[in-house]
Order: sequence, then C-alpha cells, then structure tokens
Amino acid sequence: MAQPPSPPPSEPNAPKYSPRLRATAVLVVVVCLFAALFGRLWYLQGVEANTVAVKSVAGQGIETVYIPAPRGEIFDRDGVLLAGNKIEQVVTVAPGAEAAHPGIVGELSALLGEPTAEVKAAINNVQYSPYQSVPVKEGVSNAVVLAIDENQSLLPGVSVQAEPVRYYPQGETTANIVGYISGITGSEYAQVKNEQCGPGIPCYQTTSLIGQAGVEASFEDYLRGTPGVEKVQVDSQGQVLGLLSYRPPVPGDNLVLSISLNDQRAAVQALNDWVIKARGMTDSVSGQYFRAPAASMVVEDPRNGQILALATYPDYNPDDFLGGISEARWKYYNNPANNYPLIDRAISTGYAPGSTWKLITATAMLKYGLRSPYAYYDDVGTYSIGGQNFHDDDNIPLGPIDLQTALTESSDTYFYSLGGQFWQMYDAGRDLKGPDPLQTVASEYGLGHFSGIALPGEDPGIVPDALVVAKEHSQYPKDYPDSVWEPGFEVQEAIGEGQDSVTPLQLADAYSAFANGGTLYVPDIALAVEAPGRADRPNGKIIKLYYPQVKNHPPVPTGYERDAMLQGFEGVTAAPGGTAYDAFKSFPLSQYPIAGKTGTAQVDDYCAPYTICAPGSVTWPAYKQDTSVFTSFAPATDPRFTVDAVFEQSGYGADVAAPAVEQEYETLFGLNQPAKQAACSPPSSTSSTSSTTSTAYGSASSTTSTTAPGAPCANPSTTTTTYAAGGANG
Amino acid sequence: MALTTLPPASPSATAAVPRRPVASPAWRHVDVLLIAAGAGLTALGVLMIYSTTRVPLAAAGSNPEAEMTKQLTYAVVAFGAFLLTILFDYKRYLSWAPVLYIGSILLLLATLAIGRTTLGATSWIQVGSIEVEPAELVKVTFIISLAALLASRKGNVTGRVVALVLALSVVPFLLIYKQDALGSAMVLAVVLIGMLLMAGTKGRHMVVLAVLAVVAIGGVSETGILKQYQKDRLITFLEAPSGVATTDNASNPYAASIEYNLDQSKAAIADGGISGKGLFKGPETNLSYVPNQDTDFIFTAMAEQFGFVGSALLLALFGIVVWRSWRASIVSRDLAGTLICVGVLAMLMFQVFENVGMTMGIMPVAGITLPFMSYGGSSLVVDWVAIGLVVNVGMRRLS
Repeated sequence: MAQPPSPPPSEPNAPKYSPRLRATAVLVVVVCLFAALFGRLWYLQGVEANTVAVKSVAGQGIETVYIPAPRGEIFDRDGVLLAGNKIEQVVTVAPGAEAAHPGIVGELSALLGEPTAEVKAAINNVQYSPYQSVPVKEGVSNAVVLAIDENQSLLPGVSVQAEPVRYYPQGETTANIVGYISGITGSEYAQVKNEQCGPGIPCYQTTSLIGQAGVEASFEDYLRGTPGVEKVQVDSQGQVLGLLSYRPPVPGDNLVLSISLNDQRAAVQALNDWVIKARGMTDSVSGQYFRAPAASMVVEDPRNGQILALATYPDYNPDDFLGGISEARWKYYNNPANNYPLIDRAISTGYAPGSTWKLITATAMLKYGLRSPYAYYDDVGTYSIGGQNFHDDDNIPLGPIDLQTALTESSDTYFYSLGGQFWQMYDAGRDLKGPDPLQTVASEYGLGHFSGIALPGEDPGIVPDALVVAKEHSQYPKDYPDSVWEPGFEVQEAIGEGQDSVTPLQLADAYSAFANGGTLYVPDIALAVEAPGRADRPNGKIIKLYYPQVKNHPPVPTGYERDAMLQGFEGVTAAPGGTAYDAFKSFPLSQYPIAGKTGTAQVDDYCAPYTICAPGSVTWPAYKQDTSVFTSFAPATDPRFTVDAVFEQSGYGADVAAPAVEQEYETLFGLNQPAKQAACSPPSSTSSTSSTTSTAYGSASSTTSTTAPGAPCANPSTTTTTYAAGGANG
Repeated sequence: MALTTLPPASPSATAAVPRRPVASPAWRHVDVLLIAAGAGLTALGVLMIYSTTRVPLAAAGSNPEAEMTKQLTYAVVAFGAFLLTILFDYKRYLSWAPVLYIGSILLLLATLAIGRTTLGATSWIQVGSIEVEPAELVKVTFIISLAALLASRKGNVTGRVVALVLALSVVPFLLIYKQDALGSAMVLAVVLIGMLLMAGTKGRHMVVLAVLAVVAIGGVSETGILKQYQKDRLITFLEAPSGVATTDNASNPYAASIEYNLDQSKAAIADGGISGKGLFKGPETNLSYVPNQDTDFIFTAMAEQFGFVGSALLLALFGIVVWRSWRASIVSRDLAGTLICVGVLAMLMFQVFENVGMTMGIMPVAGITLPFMSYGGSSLVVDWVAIGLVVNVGMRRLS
C-alpha cells in the first residue's frame, strides 16, 4: 500500500482519530465476510453436493406422456372389415394455451359451433396429462381445418391432428359380436391400472379407450396394442421445452373372426323379416297378435364349432358409443319398451326349448335302453302319472308311433311317457341329490353349462333336477312350493318345458354334436390373431390360431338308432306330416336335405277372460305368448351348417322360427343369388370368384354361395387353406 | 482535470525548463485492475443472464437473446456513465452535495407519486421510454453527500454531527422503505454505518448507534411496520433446515414459496459441485427451477454451471473490486475521497454478502441485486458510477 492519508493536522481535539486503524478494521470485516461466503460455498458444493436430497434434482423436470396405440382391426372370415380405424381430423389445444390466451375459448366455440362451456370443459379435462395436447373435437370438416390454419394468430396453441378413430362399417349387423369401445371408467381403470404392456409401460391411462362388449372386450388384450412413450423436458412452470425420447406406439393385433358377414347379414335379415311377419299373425291361445319383441339366430359349422352367424333382434348401433354415448341414446337402449337392444339374445338369454329338447330325451332313451327306436307307443293324446294328466298340444291322438314318427310329428305323449319312465326308474323313492340319467344326458350335450364362447355376457342356462328344486325351495319357499322332484317335473322336462332353460347357442351346439356324430365343440368366434401393419392384410404374420376345441362327447347314438333319430329329424321338413313341412315346401330338400326340429315353448298358462282360472295362470296383457323355436342341421347326410332360431312370443315354431331358418338356408346354400350361378369352381379357384377375393381362411359359406344349385361342389372344406377351418375333418 | 493541479507547480514554470515536472496526467493512475474486475463481472453477468433466460424466452416464442441483448446495452450505457464519472475531479461532485441530496429526496418523492409497482415494490419511474429505479441512484448521491458532510469535520465527529447525519439519512431511508424497497434501504443503513465509522465517530457513539439499531429493528417488527412478506422472509431464514414445512408454512403459501425459492437455490448451487455442470447444462438453470434467477438469484446460475471453481473465481473478482476500493480509500489525497471509497466499499460488500449469502441460505432473503451481474439497467449503471468514483479518487491521489 502506498502512503496512508495523513491525519488532518489542523484538528486539535482529535488525537485518537486514526484513519489507518479504522481502515484496518474495515479490512478485517471484509475478510471475515468473504471467508464466510467461501466457507458456505465449499460446504454446499464440496460436501452437500453428494447428498441424496440434492441428487433428486437430476430427475426433476422430466415428464412421461403416453400415446395411445391404434387399435387392432377386426375382420370376418373372408377378410371383410368389421371394425377399423379411420383417420379423423381432431382439433387439439396445447397445454397452457388457454391460460396464456383465454380468447381461444370463444374463437373455438364460434368455429366449432359448440357452447363455450363445453369447449372450456374439454380443454380443462383433468384426465389428460398437463404435458399433452387435449382433444376438443373429433371429426371436423376440412373447412374447419382450413380456418384454424389460416387464423393461427387468433388461435395460438390450437392445432389439427390426424388421429385414428374407431369405426364399425357393418354397424348394427355385427354389433352384438364385435361390440364397441368407450372411455375407461374410474372403476375399470382402478382394476387395470397395474397392467403392463411393456417394461414400465402401463396399458391404460385415465383417458384410454377400452373394449366394453363383444370381441372388442373379450380380445381386448390383443386389440389394444402398446402405448407409445414420450419423455418430455418441462420447466418449473410445466412448459414443455423439448422431447427427450420417443418410443412409438405399437398398433394392436388384428382379429379374424369365424363370422361370415354374408351369412350374418342374411340372419339379421331373416330375423327382421319374420319378426314383422309374426306381428301380423294371431295367437290362437290369447286371440291377440303376436308381440314378437325379440329373436335370435345362430349359424354354426358342426364340423368344428365355428360360429358363422350370431344374430339378435333388436340390435344397436356401435357407433353410438364412440366418443361417449349420449344420454338420450343410453336411455333409449335401456327403456323396457325398446326390448333392451344391448342384450345378445343368442348367448345371454335362456329359453324353454320346447320340443327341440326331444333330442335329449331320445338320446337318453336309447342310451338307457328304455325303448327300441322301432318300438311302437300308442299316442292316445294324453299321458297320466301321479294323478296328473298331460296333453298333446293339439289333443289329437296320433295312434301307435315309433321314435321316427314321434320326432317328425312331435308327439308330446311319446316323450311324456319317457319322462314318466325315467322318473319311475331313477327318481321314485330314491331321494336323488343330483341329476338323473335324463338330466345327465342334457348336461353331456352342454346344456346348463357355459358354452365357453369368447364373448362376454353368456348365460349358462338351467337343467333342473332334484337338487335344483330343493335349493330353490329352501331359498324361496313361497315361489317354489315343491321341495322334492315330482314326477310332473320330469314329464315336463322331457319335452323341454317347465324350468328348462337353454340359450340359442347351446341349442345349436347340442344339435351340432348330434350332427357330427358325437363331438361337442367349444363354439369358436375367432379364427386367428394376426400381426398388424400389413396393407395386404391376408396372411399377415399369425400370432395365434384358434383350433377347434372339443368340450365333451355326448352319448350320440350310432347305427340304426342314430338313423331312426336322423330320419325323424329329416321328416320334420320333408314328410307331409312333419311339423315344419309347410315351411320347407318350396326348398330343394332333395338337393340339400335338412334335418330339423320345431319347438313351441309355453311360457305362461293363459287365463281366458270370464273364466275361472287355474292357479298360476295369467291373463292378457301380462300373459307371455309361446316361444317359437326351430333348430336344424344340413345337409342332413353330411352336415356343414347348424342353424337355429328362437322368436319370443311368436307362437308355433313351425310358423315363425322354421321359415326364418329356411330363409337363412337359402343364403347359406346360395339359392337366392341366381346372378352368381355358375359351374362349380374347382377348389383352387374358389377364392378368385368370391367377392372378397383371396383370403387365407377360406369360407364354407362363401364357397357355396358361388356354386350353382345344379352342380353341388365337393365338400368345400377341401378348399381350405392355411388355418384348417375344417378341423373336425382334418 | 490536470489543470487543477497546475497552480502549485507554477513556481518552477518560470525556470523555462522544457520538461514538465511532476503530475503525470491523472489518467495514467487509472486503476486498470479494478476496471478489469468490474468488466469481467459484467461480462459474466451477461453470460449468466443468457443462460437463465434463453430457454424460457424460446419456449414463449421470443428471441432467446432478447434479455441478454438488453443487458449488453445497459452495460454500454453503464460504461459511458463510468467514463463520465471519472472525467471530472470528485471535488466537483462534493461541491454539489446539497443539490444532490435535495434532488434525491425530490426524486424519491416523485417515485412514490408516479411510480410503477412491480413485485410488491413501487420503485420504478418512467423516463421517456426507459424505466429507472431511483432507489438505486440514490445510493450514490447519498455516498457523495455523506462524504462531503463528514469530511468537513476532519475526523472530529461529535455527537451532534452524528445526530445531524442520522436526521439527514432518515429521510431517504424512510422514502425508500416506503417504496417497499427494503433491500435498498438496508444498503443505505450499512453505507451510513461504514462511513460514520471511517469518518471518526467515537466509540461510545457507535455503541449508542448499535443500541438504537437494535431497538429500531425490534420496534419495527413488533409494531407491524414490517409488511407480512418482509417478516416471512426473515422467518424463512430463521427456520433452519430447508424443506421442512412447518404448520405455519402450510397456512402461509408465501412463506412456502420463499422456502421453495431457497430450496431450489441451494439445490442449484449444490448441483454444481466442484467443477459445475457446464455452460447451458445445469438442469435447475435450464429448467428455470430457481425463481428470479436472472436477477436476485443469478449467483445460483454461476454456481450450478461452473461449480465451486467458477463461483470462487466470481467471489475473487468481487474481492478484487473490494480490495481496490479499500486501497483507493487509504491512498486518497483527502478524507472526502477516503469516505467515498469506504461508502462504495460498504455498499458493494454488503450487497455481495447479502445476495450471495441469501442464495446459500446464510442470510435472509431480501431484494438486493448482485452488483454488476443481476439483470437490470439502473443497478448496473449505479455500480459502474460507484467504481467510477473509486477510480476517480484513486487516479487523483497525487494531484
């Protein structure tokens, strides 16, 4: 340092004033302060820098955004699209854009024609990650897209993105099979939130769509795909600064169904036609028109259990559920006056099958040797047991009949007596706690059990027995006064009345088992799961194949015994006395013999006005009319189709269900497409004439639809194909 | 400038000696080291401002260099002000002391009347298209006025003088405090204490002053003169371990936010470690996790990006500024120069200690800028004028 300033000499009273001393004091303070700063700095950066609390800083500001994967598409067996994704223009708003520019709400509202409150609610949907653009409106027109592009200054943060949106080109026709998707609900999300679609990639977000019905629900795991993962850098204000990593979504796998759209369309058409016709017919019991509120039809390939058509009436439009169903539609679908279109009658509703049950009773009769098929039984029109009388439906005695005639002409008395015999042989005085032989055979045909079809909401049906009756009585003694298995129960059961409950699908399964000679299959709705991402969809990489799955081997009789039953079923359509003779009068049975069985199931005892009513009987309008049932397989000698139909409150099976099934056969055998008649193509070229062109799966029905009636092809199962559609034959 | 030194040298001028004796021009004694340190700090400040503002500016769709460019402009203006300051002998400024003092008071009054309120402080006024913070400018005029007054006592600072000085100081202090610029008011107080000490205030008077200060602080905090947020800052500081939310904090979001600010600040500093994350690489800085990082918390940007090495270098540069100011104070040709230098030293030292100490959690949070570095034109100009005064004193020590 240079010289200190000399102390002011002219001040006599300040001897102690020493600038140098004071300057030194200042310096000491300065040095102390700097020492404190350096010390603290060293502590923070040299010592504390390695502590855990500080290390957490590193992960700060990284947020993960999941991008939904395009859902797998769903095809019918011929490759026709049943559920797909179309690219739609979606208006989105960037995170934080509304906070920064509140004016965009008004602008968007005017542009999209939606109330401001709705636009605001959409933008502020808290289910979306705050680092993600939020969709405001889907499926906007090109004019709107243009307007947004041109007015970016008015609409900062608003953009239009092309996003895949689900659509169902076949609409109502396949709604009950394909189902629909909708936004995941809170409780659903709680159940699935831990599911992982990849390492650390949750399958679902709160904004995810999830299959709610049909195969959209049951094949959800294949269809949903794997969400994409985007890691973004955000600052302390939540502003997205940049993309750190991006892993694209993997589209879901495609699903190929066993359904043939052609056959499905025909089945839906048949139901619609015959519901309307039934409503024009008069019920001879109540004297009223038939209500015919609901109906269903099943077409199955008896050789392998593949479902070709599964129709239900009334039906719904799956597009109603996209983007959230409106309250009005939801109310409509749940209004009893509209007969609950969301219920798939083919699998979810059990019916008393009426005389179609006689397949079971006849099988049991033969298996347990109660009666020879050639033995004659004298049908006198009534049967009595335990002091009760049971009548034929029309009270007309048929005289001495064998099994074949009993089936063809649907003698109730013949089977009543079998029911009585079973009761006397196996129930009387035995205090059974389970099924007797009749019920066991029913169970072996799959009745009373879930068929196992891969569709949600299946009903198992009921085969009542002593145990069921005892249980019901103990639970509801008033509604079920009987605690023991009375002979009347068995007699009723033998003709498919009483508490017997069978779904149309179960009925088809049982007749398929008879038709193929004794194999009960788990009905297949899907043929294969394919890898996504191929433009030429057929032969996409196969992920999973669904082979026919044998469920059981019911005791289907063989040899002459089976022939007797088969001839009885064939007579139903072909013999002049057959119950469905009229319905098939114009059908080329010589070419395509059809084995069938009608059923007319009483639901309520009718009580006519001004009469003394029997206990338990019901008067109009509470009275429910008879269920019209028809089941069949064809060609009878070499069955390829099992078809059944059930019409609620439509009277005789012969009058409504049978002609509806006949109508379906016309499509199945290609009889109603004269324009397409041609010489039978050799199997190898079948695919080229099929309207849907080449497919790996082949199709029994579409093959025959190109076949001229005069030149029936060889067994079409030989035309297959990669996936061995005819597994039973293979 | 050099002209003022001529008269005493005149006797030998008649000797017709061709060589001019003594008195090399004052600019030869300009303290280059001090200017270099100030320039280095200013440059680092510009760089740090860029590193903390480029990302949010870009995210908002603005030019990421916008704030840096502004600060560069301020730096040019500030250097101009520095040159102006050293142009005239500081004697002239001392002679303006009464005018400067009264002018400052009027300016502060005007600020209260027409000022703009930002971040709780009514301390900006609009001059043409630029905004000025008078409380910053007043620091310099205060130093000059005080130096003129105290130097006239020639070391004999009596109790009366102390009382007079206090009376004169309390007016700008209260006016600045009224603007809610508590930080600037504290700077004034520290400058006053430093200059009184250096000017020869007697020990007993210093003790009385200290007692008065304690009583004042206690009275202020107990009678509710302090605003709630000012108390919160102190409370946050006093409640030690960071990150521990007390029930008080839970019901008081402001305190929580101050605490958040401090936590992020300390985290950023610690994150730098020894060698730092590297320029533009610190997560806390890049992601703007430290609030006010371009202004009051700019030290954290330096600490995170350049670590202990960089922050220590930064403190060393401040050390040079303080050391050169101290040196100028002891080599000054007169007591007024000494007092000016000590006033500037007290101002800079306190601001550095308070600001850096605050970011490291050893001082309460107060709105005090880091000299030469924090974003803002007024404080940068004032800092450069302040070291201009020091250079002025130093370069004329021989005249």
